[in-house]
Amino acid sequence: MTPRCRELLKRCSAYLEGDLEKACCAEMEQHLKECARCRAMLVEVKWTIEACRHAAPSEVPPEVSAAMRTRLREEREAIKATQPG
Amino acid sequence: MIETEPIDRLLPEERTLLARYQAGDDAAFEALILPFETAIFNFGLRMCGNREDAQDILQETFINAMRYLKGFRGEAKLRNWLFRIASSVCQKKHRRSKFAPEREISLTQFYDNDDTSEVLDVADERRLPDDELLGSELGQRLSAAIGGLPKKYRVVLLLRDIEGLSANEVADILDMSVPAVKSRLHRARLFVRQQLQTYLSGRAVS
Repeated sequence: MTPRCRELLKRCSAYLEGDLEKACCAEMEQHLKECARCRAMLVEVKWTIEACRHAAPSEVPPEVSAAMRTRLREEREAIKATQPG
Repeated sequence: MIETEPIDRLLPEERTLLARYQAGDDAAFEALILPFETAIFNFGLRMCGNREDAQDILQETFINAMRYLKGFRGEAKLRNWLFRIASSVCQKKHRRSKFAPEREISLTQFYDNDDTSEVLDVADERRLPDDELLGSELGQRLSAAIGGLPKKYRVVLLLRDIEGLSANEVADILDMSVPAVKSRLHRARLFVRQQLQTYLSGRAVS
């Protein structure tokens, strides 16, 4: 890995999020043209971010949901019991 | 002194439900909070890695919300306010348990252990992950990779890349500076990418 490759690895999130100065972006883009390994690395990072964005949430199991509602009811009653009147 | 209007970040329907709850309508609480049940449960599940702890985090977050919602003025988005509570609940739970001290992720660890395959080139961008792919093997690998992150990196990745909050919102929720959020996020992404590399290179040659 060359110093330029390291620099790209260090800054690729900032590059992808548009946080870099124009001159810095141009330098990175020049390096990307010349380095297949860094192009592949950048694709992998983009791909990782996309994978996170598409990660499917697990459904809340009905018994977990029911237990949570019971706790909320108990808490509500406890709060009411401490209120005057 | 010039008085400024308080910032209101609630949606109109949330504002109405909050006013009803603050006026004593208990049913409004569930209508206001329950739409976030799946998000908070999944946040707990990914932070702790098991259903039992995720259930505790869900319950503690909502109980705390019930206690403090009477005084909530809408100065933060409701979802972000709940994530702030959930993060704090996770942190307390982590302190009480006997976890090993958190390790740091340094960028240098990615310099010499990089298995990037040159086969995966820009042309592969069109094959970005879709929902179908993530429901299967990749979904499990991704969960395991995120689970391998030290917690202080994991929480940032979950809020920013999974939940889609902005770096500013994540900084606000975690009481961190925006540059610190971005630095942790970058290291977290590189770590997850490294964990998925076998899968990624398999894709590239398939």
